[in-house]
Amino acid sequence: MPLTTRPTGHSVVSVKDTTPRAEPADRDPSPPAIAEPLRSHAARLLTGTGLSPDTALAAARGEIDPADLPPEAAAAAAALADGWAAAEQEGTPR
Amino acid sequence: MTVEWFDLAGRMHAAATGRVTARLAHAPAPRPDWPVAVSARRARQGVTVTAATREHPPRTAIDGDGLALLHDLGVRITVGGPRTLVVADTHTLPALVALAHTTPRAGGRADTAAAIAFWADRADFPGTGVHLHLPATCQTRWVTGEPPTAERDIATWRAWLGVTDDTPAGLVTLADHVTAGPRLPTSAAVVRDDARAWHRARDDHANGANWAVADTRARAALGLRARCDTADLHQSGLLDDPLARRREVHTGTIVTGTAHPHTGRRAGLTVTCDRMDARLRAGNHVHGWAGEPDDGQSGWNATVADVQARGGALTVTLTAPRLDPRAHLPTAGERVTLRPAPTDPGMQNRGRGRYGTLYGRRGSWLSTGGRPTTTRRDVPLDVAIAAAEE
Repeated sequence: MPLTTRPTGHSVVSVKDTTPRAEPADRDPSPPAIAEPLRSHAARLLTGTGLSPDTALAAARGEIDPADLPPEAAAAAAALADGWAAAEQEGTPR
Repeated sequence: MTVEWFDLAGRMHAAATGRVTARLAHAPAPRPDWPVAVSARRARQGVTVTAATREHPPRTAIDGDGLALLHDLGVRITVGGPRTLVVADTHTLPALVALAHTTPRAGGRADTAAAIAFWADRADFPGTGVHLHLPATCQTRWVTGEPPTAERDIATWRAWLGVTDDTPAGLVTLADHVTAGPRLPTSAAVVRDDARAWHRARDDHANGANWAVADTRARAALGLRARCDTADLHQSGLLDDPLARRREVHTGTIVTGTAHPHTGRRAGLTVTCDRMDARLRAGNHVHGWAGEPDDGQSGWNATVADVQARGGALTVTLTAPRLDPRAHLPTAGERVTLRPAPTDPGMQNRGRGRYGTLYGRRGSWLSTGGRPTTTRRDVPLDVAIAAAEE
Protein backbone atom coordinates (compact mmCIF):
# COMPACT_ATOMS: atom_id res chain seq x y z
CA MET A 1 0.00 0.00 0.00
CA PRO A 2 1.45 3.40 -0.81
CA LEU A 3 2.63 5.41 2.15
CA THR A 4 0.67 8.37 0.92
CA THR A 5 -2.55 6.55 1.76
CA ARG A 6 -4.13 8.75 4.40
CA PRO A 7 -7.47 9.07 6.12
CA THR A 8 -9.56 11.57 4.25
CA GLY A 9 -12.69 13.37 5.30
CA HIS A 10 -14.34 11.49 8.11
CA SER A 11 -13.35 7.93 7.41
CA VAL A 12 -10.19 5.93 7.10
CA VAL A 13 -9.83 5.01 3.47
CA SER A 14 -8.10 1.82 2.51
CA VAL A 15 -6.79 2.11 -1.02
CA LYS A 16 -6.06 -1.05 -2.92
CA ASP A 17 -2.60 -0.92 -4.40
CA THR A 18 -3.09 -1.43 -8.13
CA THR A 19 0.45 -0.53 -9.11
CA PRO A 20 1.81 -3.08 -11.60
CA ARG A 21 4.33 -5.30 -9.87
CA ALA A 22 7.86 -4.95 -11.18
CA GLU A 23 10.16 -7.87 -11.42
CA PRO A 24 12.64 -7.97 -8.51
CA ALA A 25 15.51 -6.84 -10.70
CA ASP A 26 13.56 -3.80 -11.89
CA ARG A 27 12.29 -2.71 -8.48
CA ASP A 28 13.27 0.67 -7.19
CA PRO A 29 15.33 -0.07 -4.08
CA SER A 30 14.41 3.25 -2.43
CA PRO A 31 11.56 3.12 0.10
CA PRO A 32 8.27 4.88 -0.67
CA ALA A 33 8.08 8.57 0.13
CA ILE A 34 6.64 9.94 3.36
CA ALA A 35 3.89 12.49 2.91
CA GLU A 36 3.81 15.96 4.44
CA PRO A 37 3.41 17.07 7.20
CA LEU A 38 4.92 13.92 8.73
CA ARG A 39 7.97 14.39 6.51
CA SER A 40 8.77 17.82 8.02
CA HIS A 41 8.21 16.49 11.53
CA ALA A 42 10.55 13.57 10.82
CA ALA A 43 13.21 15.82 9.28
CA ARG A 44 13.19 18.00 12.41
CA LEU A 45 13.54 15.02 14.75
CA LEU A 46 16.33 13.53 12.66
CA THR A 47 18.47 16.66 12.62
CA GLY A 48 22.04 15.75 13.49
CA THR A 49 21.62 12.02 12.96
CA GLY A 50 22.64 11.99 9.32
CA LEU A 51 19.35 10.29 8.43
CA SER A 52 16.76 11.66 6.04
CA PRO A 53 13.08 10.79 6.54
CA ASP A 54 13.33 8.21 3.76
CA THR A 55 16.46 6.52 5.11
CA ALA A 56 14.91 6.63 8.58
CA LEU A 57 11.90 4.74 7.23
CA ALA A 58 14.16 2.20 5.57
CA ALA A 59 16.15 1.81 8.80
CA ALA A 60 12.92 1.36 10.77
CA ARG A 61 11.80 -1.38 8.40
CA GLY A 62 15.16 -3.12 8.70
CA GLU A 63 16.00 -2.51 5.07
CA ILE A 64 19.39 -0.95 5.81
CA ASP A 65 22.30 -2.74 7.38
CA PRO A 66 23.25 -0.71 10.49
CA ALA A 67 26.88 -1.11 9.44
CA ASP A 68 26.13 1.00 6.36
CA LEU A 69 24.95 3.93 8.47
CA PRO A 70 27.16 6.71 9.84
CA PRO A 71 28.05 6.27 13.55
CA GLU A 72 25.91 9.27 14.57
CA ALA A 73 22.86 7.50 13.11
CA ALA A 74 23.26 4.31 15.15
CA ALA A 75 21.14 5.30 18.16
CA ALA A 76 18.36 6.75 16.00
CA ALA A 77 18.32 3.73 13.69
CA ALA A 78 18.11 1.31 16.62
CA ALA A 79 15.25 3.28 18.21
CA LEU A 80 13.41 3.50 14.88
CA ALA A 81 13.74 -0.25 14.34
CA ASP A 82 12.48 -0.94 17.86
CA GLY A 83 9.57 1.49 17.42
CA TRP A 84 8.62 -0.15 14.14
CA ALA A 85 8.81 -3.65 15.67
CA ALA A 86 6.64 -2.51 18.59
CA ALA A 87 4.11 -1.06 16.15
CA GLU A 88 3.93 -4.40 14.37
CA GLN A 89 3.28 -6.15 17.67
CA GLU A 90 -0.32 -6.90 18.60
CA GLY A 91 -1.49 -4.68 21.46
CA THR A 92 -2.71 -7.52 23.63
CA PRO A 93 -1.92 -7.39 27.34
CA ARG A 94 -0.14 -10.41 28.77
CA MET B 1 16.95 9.51 25.23
CA THR B 2 15.70 8.02 22.01
CA VAL B 3 11.97 8.01 22.62
CA GLU B 4 11.21 10.60 19.93
CA TRP B 5 12.70 8.31 17.26
CA PHE B 6 10.82 5.34 18.72
CA ASP B 7 7.57 7.34 18.43
CA LEU B 8 8.50 8.51 14.93
CA ALA B 9 8.66 4.89 13.80
CA GLY B 10 5.15 4.40 15.21
CA ARG B 11 3.94 7.40 13.20
CA MET B 12 5.57 6.10 10.04
CA HIS B 13 3.97 2.72 10.64
CA ALA B 14 0.55 4.35 11.06
CA ALA B 15 1.08 6.33 7.87
CA ALA B 16 2.10 3.20 6.01
CA THR B 17 -0.83 1.10 7.18
CA GLY B 18 -3.51 3.82 7.45
CA ARG B 19 -4.26 2.58 10.99
CA VAL B 20 -3.35 4.08 14.35
CA THR B 21 -0.39 2.51 16.14
CA ALA B 22 -0.98 1.35 19.71
CA ARG B 23 1.08 2.90 22.48
CA LEU B 24 -0.80 0.91 25.12
CA ALA B 25 -2.37 -2.52 25.11
CA HIS B 26 -4.77 -1.33 27.83
CA ALA B 27 -7.41 1.38 27.90
CA PRO B 28 -5.93 4.44 29.65
CA ALA B 29 -9.27 5.34 31.27
CA PRO B 30 -12.30 3.34 32.40
CA ARG B 31 -15.23 2.97 30.02
CA PRO B 32 -17.82 5.56 31.09
CA ASP B 33 -21.15 4.18 32.30
CA TRP B 34 -22.99 7.45 31.75
CA PRO B 35 -21.05 9.66 29.34
CA VAL B 36 -22.26 13.17 28.65
CA ALA B 37 -20.43 14.68 25.70
CA VAL B 38 -20.40 18.45 25.88
CA SER B 39 -19.11 21.27 23.77
CA ALA B 40 -19.38 24.73 25.35
CA ARG B 41 -18.30 28.14 24.05
CA ARG B 42 -18.21 31.50 25.77
CA ALA B 43 -19.31 34.35 23.53
CA ARG B 44 -20.79 37.82 23.89
CA GLN B 45 -24.34 36.50 23.97
CA GLY B 46 -23.51 33.95 26.69
CA VAL B 47 -22.32 30.38 27.06
CA THR B 48 -23.56 28.06 24.32
CA VAL B 49 -23.82 24.44 25.41
CA THR B 50 -24.27 21.46 23.08
CA ALA B 51 -24.61 18.10 24.79
CA ALA B 52 -25.48 14.50 23.99
CA THR B 53 -25.51 11.10 25.67
CA ARG B 54 -25.79 7.55 24.34
CA GLU B 55 -29.58 7.83 24.57
CA HIS B 56 -30.09 11.50 23.70
CA PRO B 57 -29.08 13.16 20.41
CA PRO B 58 -27.27 16.50 20.54
CA ARG B 59 -29.19 19.55 21.71
CA THR B 60 -27.98 23.13 22.04
CA ALA B 61 -28.97 25.78 24.59
CA ILE B 62 -27.60 29.05 25.94
CA ASP B 63 -26.77 30.10 29.52
CA GLY B 64 -29.43 29.00 32.02
CA ASP B 65 -31.08 26.84 29.40
CA GLY B 66 -27.71 25.18 28.90
CA LEU B 67 -27.64 24.26 32.58
CA ALA B 68 -31.22 23.03 32.30
CA LEU B 69 -30.13 20.86 29.36
CA LEU B 70 -27.35 19.28 31.43
CA HIS B 71 -29.78 18.87 34.32
CA ASP B 72 -32.15 16.96 32.04
CA LEU B 73 -29.25 14.71 30.96
CA GLY B 74 -28.67 13.71 34.57
CA VAL B 75 -25.82 16.07 35.43
CA ARG B 76 -26.81 16.55 39.07
CA ILE B 77 -24.83 16.10 42.27
CA THR B 78 -27.93 14.55 43.85
CA VAL B 79 -28.07 11.44 41.62
CA GLY B 80 -26.56 8.09 42.58
CA GLY B 81 -23.32 8.31 40.61
CA PRO B 82 -21.30 10.75 38.53
CA ARG B 83 -21.76 11.26 34.81
CA THR B 84 -18.57 11.28 32.76
CA LEU B 85 -17.87 14.58 31.05
CA VAL B 86 -16.53 13.85 27.56
CA VAL B 87 -14.88 16.82 25.88
CA ALA B 88 -12.80 17.43 22.78
CA ASP B 89 -11.05 20.64 23.82
CA THR B 90 -9.69 22.58 26.77
CA HIS B 91 -12.20 25.44 26.80
CA THR B 92 -15.45 23.52 27.38
CA LEU B 93 -14.87 22.84 31.07
CA PRO B 94 -13.87 26.45 31.95
CA ALA B 95 -16.96 27.67 30.05
CA LEU B 96 -19.16 25.29 32.05
CA VAL B 97 -17.56 26.39 35.32
CA ALA B 98 -18.20 30.04 34.37
CA LEU B 99 -21.81 29.11 33.74
CA ALA B 100 -22.02 27.28 37.07
CA HIS B 101 -20.73 30.38 38.87
CA THR B 102 -23.68 32.39 37.54
CA THR B 103 -26.19 30.00 39.12
CA PRO B 104 -27.81 31.01 42.43
CA ARG B 105 -26.82 28.58 45.18
CA ALA B 106 -30.41 28.11 46.25
CA GLY B 107 -31.74 27.92 42.71
CA GLY B 108 -33.22 24.96 40.91
CA ARG B 109 -29.99 24.28 39.01
CA ALA B 110 -27.64 24.41 41.99
CA ASP B 111 -27.28 20.63 41.91
CA THR B 112 -26.12 20.82 38.27
CA ALA B 113 -23.67 23.62 39.11
CA ALA B 114 -22.24 21.49 41.95
CA ALA B 115 -21.85 18.53 39.57
CA ILE B 116 -19.91 20.77 37.15
CA ALA B 117 -17.70 21.89 40.05
CA PHE B 118 -17.10 18.19 40.80
CA TRP B 119 -16.00 17.64 37.19
CA ALA B 120 -13.65 20.61 37.41
CA ASP B 121 -12.15 19.21 40.59
CA ARG B 122 -11.64 15.68 39.22
CA ALA B 123 -10.25 16.88 35.89
CA ASP B 124 -6.88 17.27 37.65
CA PHE B 125 -6.73 13.54 38.44
CA PRO B 126 -5.03 11.57 35.64
CA GLY B 127 -6.91 8.41 34.67
CA THR B 128 -10.14 9.60 36.27
CA GLY B 129 -13.35 8.03 35.02
CA VAL B 130 -15.45 11.19 35.30
CA HIS B 131 -13.61 13.54 32.95
CA LEU B 132 -12.44 12.33 29.57
CA HIS B 133 -10.43 14.75 27.45
CA LEU B 134 -10.53 12.83 24.21
CA PRO B 135 -7.48 14.13 22.31
CA ALA B 136 -5.25 13.63 25.36
CA THR B 137 -6.65 10.17 26.08
CA CYS B 138 -6.33 9.11 22.44
CA GLN B 139 -2.72 10.37 22.43
CA THR B 140 -2.01 8.24 25.48
CA ARG B 141 -3.36 5.16 23.72
CA TRP B 142 -2.31 5.58 20.10
CA VAL B 143 -0.20 7.50 17.62
CA THR B 144 -1.41 8.48 14.18
CA GLY B 145 0.57 9.08 11.01
CA GLU B 146 0.39 12.82 11.68
CA PRO B 147 2.71 15.11 13.68
CA PRO B 148 1.85 15.37 17.40
CA THR B 149 0.48 18.89 16.98
CA ALA B 150 -2.28 17.57 14.68
CA GLU B 151 -3.30 15.06 17.34
CA ARG B 152 -4.45 17.86 19.64
CA ASP B 153 -7.33 18.38 17.23
CA ILE B 154 -10.25 16.01 17.63
CA ALA B 155 -10.80 16.07 13.86
CA THR B 156 -7.56 14.09 13.45
CA TRP B 157 -8.83 11.36 15.76
CA ARG B 158 -12.25 11.30 14.13
CA ALA B 159 -10.56 10.78 10.76
CA TRP B 160 -8.16 8.09 11.95
CA LEU B 161 -10.76 6.19 13.95
CA GLY B 162 -13.42 6.43 11.26
CA VAL B 163 -15.99 8.42 13.25
CA THR B 164 -17.86 10.63 10.82
CA ASP B 165 -20.21 12.33 13.31
CA ASP B 166 -18.68 15.68 14.29
CA THR B 167 -21.32 16.44 16.94
CA PRO B 168 -21.08 15.52 20.64
CA ALA B 169 -22.78 12.23 19.74
CA GLY B 170 -19.62 11.40 17.78
CA LEU B 171 -17.60 12.20 20.90
CA VAL B 172 -19.53 9.52 22.79
CA THR B 173 -18.59 7.03 20.06
CA LEU B 174 -14.94 8.10 20.29
CA ALA B 175 -15.08 7.75 24.08
CA ASP B 176 -16.28 4.18 23.66
CA HIS B 177 -13.41 3.48 21.21
CA VAL B 178 -10.65 4.89 23.39
CA THR B 179 -11.86 3.15 26.56
CA ALA B 180 -12.52 -0.24 24.93
CA GLY B 181 -10.59 -3.30 26.10
CA PRO B 182 -8.95 -4.19 29.38
CA ARG B 183 -8.23 -1.34 31.79
CA LEU B 184 -4.91 -0.53 33.38
CA PRO B 185 -4.65 -2.43 36.68
CA THR B 186 -4.36 0.83 38.64
CA SER B 187 -7.59 2.13 37.14
CA ALA B 188 -9.70 0.41 39.81
CA ALA B 189 -8.11 2.50 42.57
CA VAL B 190 -8.75 5.75 40.67
CA VAL B 191 -12.38 4.74 40.06
CA ARG B 192 -12.81 4.05 43.80
CA ASP B 193 -11.34 7.46 44.52
CA ASP B 194 -13.79 9.02 42.01
CA ALA B 195 -16.68 7.38 43.88
CA ARG B 196 -15.42 8.57 47.27
CA ALA B 197 -14.99 12.11 45.94
CA TRP B 198 -18.51 12.01 44.44
CA HIS B 199 -20.10 10.98 47.73
CA ARG B 200 -18.12 13.64 49.58
CA ALA B 201 -19.26 16.32 47.10
CA ARG B 202 -22.86 15.07 47.34
CA ASP B 203 -22.75 15.19 51.15
CA ASP B 204 -21.20 18.67 51.08
CA HIS B 205 -24.00 19.83 48.78
CA ALA B 206 -26.65 18.27 51.02
CA ASN B 207 -25.11 20.04 54.02
CA GLY B 208 -25.30 23.39 52.27
CA ALA B 209 -21.58 23.78 51.58
CA ASN B 210 -20.71 26.31 48.90
CA TRP B 211 -18.39 24.81 46.27
CA ALA B 212 -17.56 28.29 44.95
CA VAL B 213 -15.78 29.28 48.19
CA ALA B 214 -12.02 28.74 48.22
CA ASP B 215 -10.77 25.66 50.07
CA THR B 216 -9.32 25.93 53.54
CA ARG B 217 -5.53 25.59 53.71
CA ALA B 218 -5.81 22.06 55.04
CA ARG B 219 -8.24 20.97 52.36
CA ALA B 220 -6.20 22.61 49.61
CA ALA B 221 -3.06 20.86 50.86
CA LEU B 222 -4.81 17.50 50.99
CA GLY B 223 -6.27 18.11 47.54
CA LEU B 224 -2.81 18.82 46.16
CA ARG B 225 -1.44 15.68 47.81
CA ALA B 226 -4.30 13.61 46.37
CA ARG B 227 -3.63 14.97 42.87
CA CYS B 228 0.09 14.18 43.15
CA ASP B 229 -0.70 10.67 44.44
CA THR B 230 -3.06 10.01 41.54
CA ALA B 231 -0.51 11.28 39.02
CA ASP B 232 2.10 8.94 40.55
CA LEU B 233 -0.35 6.04 40.51
CA HIS B 234 -1.30 6.68 36.89
CA GLN B 235 2.36 6.86 35.81
CA SER B 236 3.05 3.64 37.65
CA GLY B 237 -0.03 2.04 36.09
CA LEU B 238 1.18 2.90 32.61
CA LEU B 239 4.30 0.83 33.32
CA ASP B 240 2.05 -2.18 33.92
CA ASP B 241 1.37 -2.11 30.19
CA PRO B 242 3.82 -4.15 28.07
CA LEU B 243 3.79 -1.74 25.11
CA ALA B 244 4.38 1.24 27.37
CA ARG B 245 7.28 -0.55 29.06
CA ARG B 246 8.86 -1.22 25.70
CA ARG B 247 8.63 2.49 24.88
CA GLU B 248 9.91 3.59 28.29
CA VAL B 249 13.20 1.78 27.66
CA HIS B 250 13.87 4.75 25.39
CA THR B 251 13.25 7.29 28.18
CA GLY B 252 15.49 5.47 30.69
CA THR B 253 12.55 4.69 32.98
CA ILE B 254 12.68 0.97 32.19
CA VAL B 255 16.15 -0.53 32.39
CA THR B 256 17.29 -3.67 30.65
CA GLY B 257 20.60 -5.44 31.10
CA THR B 258 22.51 -8.51 32.13
CA ALA B 259 22.43 -9.91 35.66
CA HIS B 260 25.47 -10.68 37.81
CA PRO B 261 24.28 -12.16 41.12
CA HIS B 262 26.66 -11.59 44.04
CA THR B 263 28.31 -14.56 45.58
CA GLY B 264 29.28 -15.04 49.19
CA ARG B 265 27.56 -13.71 52.27
CA ARG B 266 26.42 -10.37 50.86
CA ALA B 267 23.36 -11.19 48.79
CA GLY B 268 22.57 -8.83 45.97
CA LEU B 269 22.66 -8.34 42.28
CA THR B 270 24.52 -6.15 39.84
CA VAL B 271 22.97 -5.35 36.49
CA THR B 272 25.09 -4.20 33.56
CA CYS B 273 22.69 -1.94 31.69
CA ASP B 274 22.24 -1.98 27.92
CA ARG B 275 22.08 1.82 27.86
CA MET B 276 23.71 4.70 29.69
CA ASP B 277 20.54 6.75 30.21
CA ALA B 278 18.92 4.80 33.06
CA ARG B 279 17.11 7.09 35.47
CA LEU B 280 17.77 4.92 38.52
CA ARG B 281 19.52 6.48 41.49
CA ALA B 282 20.79 5.09 44.78
CA GLY B 283 17.89 4.65 47.17
CA ASN B 284 15.26 4.03 44.45
CA HIS B 285 13.00 1.05 44.98
CA VAL B 286 12.71 -1.14 41.90
CA HIS B 287 10.88 -4.19 40.69
CA GLY B 288 12.77 -6.57 38.44
CA TRP B 289 12.24 -9.77 36.55
CA ALA B 290 14.16 -12.15 34.34
CA GLY B 291 13.32 -11.37 30.74
CA GLU B 292 12.47 -8.47 28.48
CA PRO B 293 10.27 -5.42 29.18
CA ASP B 294 7.22 -6.88 27.47
CA ASP B 295 7.47 -10.17 29.37
CA GLY B 296 5.39 -10.75 32.52
CA GLN B 297 6.39 -8.87 35.63
CA SER B 298 6.57 -11.72 38.13
CA GLY B 299 9.90 -11.07 39.85
CA TRP B 300 11.48 -9.43 42.83
CA ASN B 301 11.67 -6.09 44.62
CA ALA B 302 14.96 -4.49 45.56
CA THR B 303 16.58 -1.17 46.38
CA VAL B 304 19.27 0.47 44.28
CA ALA B 305 22.44 0.61 46.34
CA ASP B 306 24.72 2.15 43.76
CA VAL B 307 24.83 3.32 40.14
CA GLN B 308 28.18 3.65 38.39
CA ALA B 309 29.51 4.17 34.89
CA ARG B 310 32.39 1.76 34.44
CA GLY B 311 34.28 1.08 31.26
CA GLY B 312 31.63 2.63 29.03
CA ALA B 313 28.75 0.74 30.66
CA LEU B 314 26.33 1.64 33.41
CA THR B 315 26.07 -0.79 36.30
CA VAL B 316 23.28 -0.82 38.87
CA THR B 317 23.89 -2.62 42.15
CA LEU B 318 20.81 -3.85 43.96
CA THR B 319 20.51 -4.83 47.59
CA ALA B 320 19.18 -8.26 48.51
CA PRO B 321 16.07 -8.71 46.36
CA ARG B 322 12.85 -9.74 48.07
CA LEU B 323 11.47 -12.58 46.05
CA ASP B 324 8.00 -13.26 44.83
CA PRO B 325 7.51 -16.97 45.64
CA ARG B 326 6.64 -17.62 41.99
CA ALA B 327 9.76 -15.95 40.66
CA HIS B 328 13.41 -16.87 40.68
CA LEU B 329 16.49 -14.73 41.02
CA PRO B 330 18.28 -14.37 37.72
CA THR B 331 21.35 -16.43 37.11
CA ALA B 332 24.66 -15.00 35.92
CA GLY B 333 24.41 -13.64 32.41
CA GLU B 334 20.60 -13.78 32.30
CA ARG B 335 18.66 -10.88 30.77
CA VAL B 336 16.76 -8.78 33.31
CA THR B 337 14.40 -5.80 33.28
CA LEU B 338 14.05 -3.24 36.07
CA ARG B 339 11.23 -0.76 36.58
CA PRO B 340 10.45 1.71 39.37
CA ALA B 341 8.61 -0.15 42.13
CA PRO B 342 4.85 -0.08 41.48
CA THR B 343 2.95 2.52 43.47
CA ASP B 344 0.73 1.06 46.18
CA PRO B 345 -2.61 2.94 46.35
CA GLY B 346 -3.27 1.55 49.86
CA MET B 347 -0.02 3.05 51.11
CA GLN B 348 -0.91 6.34 49.42
CA ASN B 349 -4.27 6.36 51.22
CA ARG B 350 -2.62 5.71 54.57
CA GLY B 351 -0.11 8.47 53.87
CA ARG B 352 -2.88 10.93 53.04
CA GLY B 353 -4.69 9.90 56.21
CA ARG B 354 -1.62 10.70 58.33
CA TYR B 355 -1.13 13.96 56.42
CA GLY B 356 -4.76 14.90 57.04
CA THR B 357 -4.38 14.20 60.75
CA LEU B 358 -1.32 16.44 60.94
CA TYR B 359 -3.09 19.25 59.10
CA GLY B 360 -6.20 18.91 61.25
CA ARG B 361 -4.25 19.05 64.50
CA ARG B 362 -4.78 22.09 66.65
CA GLY B 363 -1.91 24.47 66.43
CA SER B 364 -0.60 23.24 63.08
CA TRP B 365 1.02 26.39 61.70
CA LEU B 366 0.46 25.17 58.16
CA SER B 367 -3.32 24.97 58.50
CA THR B 368 -3.82 27.90 60.87
CA GLY B 369 -1.55 30.22 58.93
CA GLY B 370 0.33 31.25 62.06
CA ARG B 371 3.99 32.09 61.60
CA PRO B 372 6.44 29.53 62.95
CA THR B 373 8.78 30.70 65.67
CA THR B 374 12.17 31.85 64.41
CA THR B 375 15.03 29.67 65.57
CA ARG B 376 18.71 30.19 64.85
CA ARG B 377 21.35 27.55 64.34
CA ASP B 378 24.66 27.02 62.52
CA VAL B 379 24.44 26.51 58.78
CA PRO B 380 27.04 24.49 56.84
CA LEU B 381 29.30 26.71 54.74
CA ASP B 382 28.24 25.20 51.39
CA VAL B 383 24.57 25.94 52.17
CA ALA B 384 25.46 29.55 53.02
CA ILE B 385 27.42 29.89 49.75
CA ALA B 386 24.57 28.38 47.73
CA ALA B 387 22.11 30.77 49.38
CA ALA B 388 24.38 33.73 48.61
CA GLU B 389 24.53 32.72 44.96
CA GLU B 390 20.74 32.65 44.81
